[in-house]
Amino acid sequence: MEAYERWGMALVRKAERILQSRSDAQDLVHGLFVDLLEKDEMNLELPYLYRAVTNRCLTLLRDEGNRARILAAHDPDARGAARTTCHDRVVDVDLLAKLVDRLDDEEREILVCRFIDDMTQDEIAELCGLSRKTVGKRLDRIKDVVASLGGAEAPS
Amino acid sequence: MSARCTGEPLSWLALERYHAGDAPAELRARVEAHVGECEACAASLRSIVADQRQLPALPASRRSKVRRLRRALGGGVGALALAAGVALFVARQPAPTEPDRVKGGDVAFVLVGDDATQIAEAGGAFAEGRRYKVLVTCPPSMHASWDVAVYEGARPSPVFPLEPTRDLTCGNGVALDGAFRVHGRDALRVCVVWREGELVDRAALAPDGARSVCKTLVPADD
Ligand SMILES: [Zn+2]
Repeated sequence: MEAYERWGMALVRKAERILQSRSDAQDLVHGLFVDLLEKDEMNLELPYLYRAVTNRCLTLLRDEGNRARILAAHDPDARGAARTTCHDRVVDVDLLAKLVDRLDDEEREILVCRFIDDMTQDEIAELCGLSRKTVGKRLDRIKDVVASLGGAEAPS
Repeated sequence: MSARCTGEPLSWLALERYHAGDAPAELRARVEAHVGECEACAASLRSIVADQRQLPALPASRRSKVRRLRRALGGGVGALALAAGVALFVARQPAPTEPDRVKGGDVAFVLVGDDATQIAEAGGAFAEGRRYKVLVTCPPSMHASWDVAVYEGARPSPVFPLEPTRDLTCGNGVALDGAFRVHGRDALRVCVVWREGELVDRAALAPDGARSVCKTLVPADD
């Protein structure tokens, strides 16, 4: 499958930044393409695939068992350089795990787009088919939730 | 710590598209202008360029073949046959390969065929009719019961080709009891499942549930 050869590693790198697990990232992307192959899915542009990987990663992290397993074994180096932060906090898999159940589907996706994929609000709006205003509102709410968690060093 | 971006960072999506030659002229110009003066984004782009890893192969089968095989595999436990005996081919087991070694509390596994070939990566190819043993890498401090479950596509119920291993002395590449043979020609999802301080309950396993590590494997080309 051409899209797999063309975009597979870009998607593995993306999944690694989210999950911080190289084996889970690779397995997730491989599983995505196996499913696409079976469904005869032809929309295989990178932006579409990016969203599909985001959603699969989030589904994995919302599962308690997988979340615990990934948190226990995650590789800090797999996060890659963090060029955006939320209230000066890097959104890594630890923080993401705390946020997944506090945000709705749209907010979760925007969280990943903004603070892990480092997209601008315009890029997010285009990718997700939302208005820039909506993206801004969702980001405000995400920032509120992150702020409500307290600082990284604060006792929980 | 790495350098800070001098402005609004270039998204990873933009950098990946640029790297793949998929960026329109406007984006290409923007990427080039930005990385020329931003060390943080230039380093991110370099990390993409430097990544020389290869992906495992997708199933060679096309859709119709996948479906046909799925039907063929659909009836009960037909895809996998239990292989009798434990020490069938222990003599030729090589050590697990480096890429599958894990850090921290992680658990990993490789399959070793009776011809001493290894399947260490997700997407690895299995040979029809070959017998495989499961070698687990787990922290020495870990005490758990172990099981192997195999899922065929969307089928909800796993096949258990091996007897559970009650107590394993964890380490690098430790063999679970028994071996199994693969007869199917469709992609398989092989999961090693463990429970610490209790026995694995086969009736209570969810696909991709907690305390498991899985690989999707594809049939080797003939
Ligand atoms: Zn920059």
